[in-house]
Amino acid sequence: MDGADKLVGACSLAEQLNKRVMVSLRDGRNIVGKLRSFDQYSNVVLQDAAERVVVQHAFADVPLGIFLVRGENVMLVGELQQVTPDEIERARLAQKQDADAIRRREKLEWPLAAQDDYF
Amino acid sequence: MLFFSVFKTLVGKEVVVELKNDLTIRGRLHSVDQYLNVKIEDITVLDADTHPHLLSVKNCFIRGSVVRYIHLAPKDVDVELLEDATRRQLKEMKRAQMSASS
Amino acid sequence: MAGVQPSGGIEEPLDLVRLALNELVRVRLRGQRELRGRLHAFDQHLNMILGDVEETTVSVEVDEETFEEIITTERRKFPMLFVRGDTVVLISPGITT
Repeated sequence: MDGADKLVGACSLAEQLNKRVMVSLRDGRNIVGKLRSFDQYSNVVLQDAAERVVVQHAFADVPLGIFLVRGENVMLVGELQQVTPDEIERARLAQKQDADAIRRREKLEWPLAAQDDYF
Repeated sequence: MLFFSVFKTLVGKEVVVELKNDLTIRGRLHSVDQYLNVKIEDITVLDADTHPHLLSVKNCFIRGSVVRYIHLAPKDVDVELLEDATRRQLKEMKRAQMSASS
Repeated sequence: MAGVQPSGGIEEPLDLVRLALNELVRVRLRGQRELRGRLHAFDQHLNMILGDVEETTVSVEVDEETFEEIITTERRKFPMLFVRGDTVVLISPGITT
C-alpha cells in the first residue's frame, strides 16, 4: 500500500489511542475503557475496563481491570465524548459560587458523574 | 481491492451502515481500510431507543466483518465506472491465475 | 488451473456473475433474505453493489397457543446498496420482473 492510500482517510484506531472508548461486542455486551493498544485484526487492549450494563435508559459500569478483546468479537469501537477538564472546572466553579449550591448540586451531580462518558 | 477503492471515493459522503445484528448507523464516511472496516463520523443510530448506550458516541469504528449492507446515495456512485472496474479487476485476477499456473 | 482461457466464455463460477453485470439478479442471503436488483459491481468475495434493490425478508413465528406458523414477509427498497459477500448464499442471474 502506498502513502496515497493512507492519506485518503486512513482507517485506524490510532486517533482513539489513550482515549476512552466503548467497544460493542458481537454478543451484545459493551465494554468501556481507555484504548491502550490495537492491531490489524482489531484486537484491542483496554485499560480500566468496565462492562457497561444498560437497562432501558439507565446504565452501570462494572469494573473489570485490564482487558484484551480478540478482534473477531469486536463489532464497533465508539469514541466516547470527552468532557474537557476546563468544562468540569467551570461547572465546579459555578457550583461553588452559587448560593443555592446544595439545591443545585442535586441537579448537577448526576450529569457531572455521568458526563465523563455518557449522554 | 475493488471495493476498498470504491469506498475511498465515498469518503466524506453520507452513508447508512446496516450491521448483521440489525443495528443501523447513519453518518459521514470518515475512512475505510482494506478489510472494509469503516470509520463513521457524526453518527445517528436508527432506533436509538433500543441502543441508548450509543448516544454518547459521535464517531465510531465498525469492523468490516459485522457489516451486512452499506446504503449509498445513487448520486455518489457512477455505475458505468463500477462495471468497467469490475471487468478490469476480473481480467487482472485471471491473468494472475494464468501466470501462477504456467 | 485447468481450463482457464482468456476468452469471454464461462470457465469458472465467477464468469457467470460477470455476464450478469448491469443485468437484474436475484441474490439470496443468509437469514431468509433475498435481494433483487441490478448488479453494478462485485469481487471474488461476492461483495456487491446493486442498484434499485428490493429486499424481501421472511420470518416465521409460531403461535404459542395454537402452534400455528405465522409467516410474515417484509419488503424494503434501496436505490443503491453495497452487500458484504460473506452473507451471500447464491446468485441467480437474468431474472425478469
